[in-house]
Amino acid sequence: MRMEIGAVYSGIRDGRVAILRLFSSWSGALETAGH
Amino acid sequence: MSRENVEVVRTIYDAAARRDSDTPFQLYAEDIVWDMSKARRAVLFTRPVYHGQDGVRQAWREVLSVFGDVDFEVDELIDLGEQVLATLREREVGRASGAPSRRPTWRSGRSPTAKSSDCRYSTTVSRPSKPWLSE
Repeated sequence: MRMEIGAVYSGIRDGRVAILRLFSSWSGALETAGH
Repeated sequence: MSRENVEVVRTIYDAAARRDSDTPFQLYAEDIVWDMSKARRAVLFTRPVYHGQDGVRQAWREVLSVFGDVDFEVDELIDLGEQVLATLREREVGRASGAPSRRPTWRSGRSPTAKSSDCRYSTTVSRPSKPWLSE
């Protein structure tokens, strides 16, 4: 069984990721990302 | 700029699919914040948020001490402007039993404003002899 997870990458500067946030659902990730 | 951001994230997952554990760390800031406080899997870790590249390595060591393999498939990389959302499907294999975990799958809708980019591949992260995962 595969579990859906969402990962939001933000604060990307000069090609490097500053923040990675993991969520237990895609919708949770989208909501947190403001969409 | 957002398109470049998607490419950065794509490069990370491409590297993972090749079992290249060096490239992702070249694309993480030295002071990266790895926040799992909103993920149910946070209970598996000693802390909800890890700081710095060493923190990310520690988090991976912790999850791989529980699971022999963490197999994930990238569904989409979605351009959200200043942010990139990766939608993934993950399957963990118990380290002791070798049995797949039996967690429920949560279904959700998708934002109509999100722009997706074609991205489907899978990889497995296991506890190998890679230096970044060693003790």
